Amino acid sequence: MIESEKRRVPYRALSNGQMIVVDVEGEAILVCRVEGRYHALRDLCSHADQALSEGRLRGHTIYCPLHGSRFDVRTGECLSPPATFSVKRFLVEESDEGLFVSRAREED
Amino acid sequence: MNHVLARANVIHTPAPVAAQPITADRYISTDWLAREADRIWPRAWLFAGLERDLAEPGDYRVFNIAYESILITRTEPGELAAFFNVCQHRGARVVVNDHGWVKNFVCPYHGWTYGYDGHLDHVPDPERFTGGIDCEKRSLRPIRVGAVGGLVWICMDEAAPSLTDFLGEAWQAVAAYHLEDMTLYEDQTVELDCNWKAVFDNFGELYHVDHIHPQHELLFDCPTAENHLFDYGHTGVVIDGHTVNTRMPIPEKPNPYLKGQLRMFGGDPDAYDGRVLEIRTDIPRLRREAGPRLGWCYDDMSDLRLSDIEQYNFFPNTMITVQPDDAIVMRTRPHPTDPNKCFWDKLTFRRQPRAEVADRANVAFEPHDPADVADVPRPEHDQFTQDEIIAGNKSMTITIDQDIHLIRDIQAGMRSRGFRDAKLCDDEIRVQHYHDWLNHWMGDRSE
Repeated sequence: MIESEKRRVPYRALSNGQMIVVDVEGEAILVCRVEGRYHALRDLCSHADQALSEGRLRGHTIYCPLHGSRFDVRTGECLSPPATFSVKRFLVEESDEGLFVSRAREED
Repeated sequence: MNHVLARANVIHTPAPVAAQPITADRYISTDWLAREADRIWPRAWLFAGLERDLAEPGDYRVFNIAYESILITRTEPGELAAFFNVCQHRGARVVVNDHGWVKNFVCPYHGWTYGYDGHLDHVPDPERFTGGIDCEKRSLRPIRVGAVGGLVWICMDEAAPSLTDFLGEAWQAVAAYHLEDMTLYEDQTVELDCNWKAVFDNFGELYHVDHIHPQHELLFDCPTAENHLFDYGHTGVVIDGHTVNTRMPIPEKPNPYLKGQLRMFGGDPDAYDGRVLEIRTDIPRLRREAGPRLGWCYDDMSDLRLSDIEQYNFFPNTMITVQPDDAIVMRTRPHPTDPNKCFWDKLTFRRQPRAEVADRANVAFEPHDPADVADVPRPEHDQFTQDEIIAGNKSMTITIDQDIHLIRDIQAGMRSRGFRDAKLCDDEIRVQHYHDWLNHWMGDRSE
């Protein structure tokens, strides 16, 4: 993992299907919980200048509200056009002190 | 043979035109394909998707047929709506993927923005349009949409009959099975090297079953099936189920398939030694007794429907096979430019036992574990080629795989100088009825 600021998420826990946006080193990060696991993505569609957090989260898929591109929140993988690129993924860690998000390793 | 369960009222509605030979041109000609795109697809009600995929306002599905792309969504008041997926600015596709949810429909080309009701809500830099823009006139062009049994249908023709009138008696039979209460388990499409009608024809007759589907003689009595012919070119067939092919020697003991069906509903297979043909007549009672344990209600279903299997072909391209606890909804779509290629869509539905009773009832519904219906995730759409079926890497059930092994050769035969026209047997009356109606639709329909 690249050493970088770990940012505490202002929630101790999220409900399944819930998502929030936190700022890490000046970057908006979408943090969500699906089936008990936490995932974090850059809160920006890789196609157009649009916050993904304004879209819909269904299962492991997030839907961009602007043109309907879909992304897998576990990997950031782009699942449908018009986007063609993945969205950057971040690490989320859960500890007794709460949730922390930081930059994921490139190979993740 | 003691057929306690006997049917009546075979429906044979005549076609509006005289029967003509079924020649190869309709399967291989690009001219035919182009005329279908003008005369069939824009005029008939077409099965276009599932209501469950349009649960919330802004959910959408795209249905592509020939050279048309149809956008189906749900509006804020909760109504279904369908539009040509064409931006009224320069003709770009408003939606460029197959399904999803959006806040508005924003054309990716210049950003024209439409509401769920198709209304043009926003145009970037409107001052650059001298004379302004009439948002009413430049809203998405709507088309007709309706839903029955959880299936969404669209029609591009304002003059066409209503959806329920079009589907008619054939749909009344399907409706009795309550597809809307079944769970979607598989969503598949296979790309085939044949004309879309070659697939449809295959589901219009049972003459081939004894030859390429040998497993059916252990489950159904296809030779005694009853064919039905309906208005608008729809057809149906009702087949004795929970029995064996009575043209073959009747076995003394139930075969493994019948034993499994008996056990599923609490019957004792050993009690049917020497009485195999009585299984079919007892199955309705066994189902009714087992239903409450499984969480299923058969109160409004006839004994015939609890024992048999029905299949209906809806003109021009939708095929539905139903039994009390499962259904297959299939559709063939033409390749936009090549008459020798098509897409065959298959949706598989099953009635899911309630979680709290599934284990106790010892019902195993592969490949899913017993679970509440609401917890079964919607399967991803899986599209593959016929070569992947032939290689054994994909399957659409053993029966359909057997059809797919043959169908490329049928198309090749149609293209041969050695083929003149089809010679149909009495059991293939549904194929003739369908093509008679096809001829009617392809003509001026004034006869």
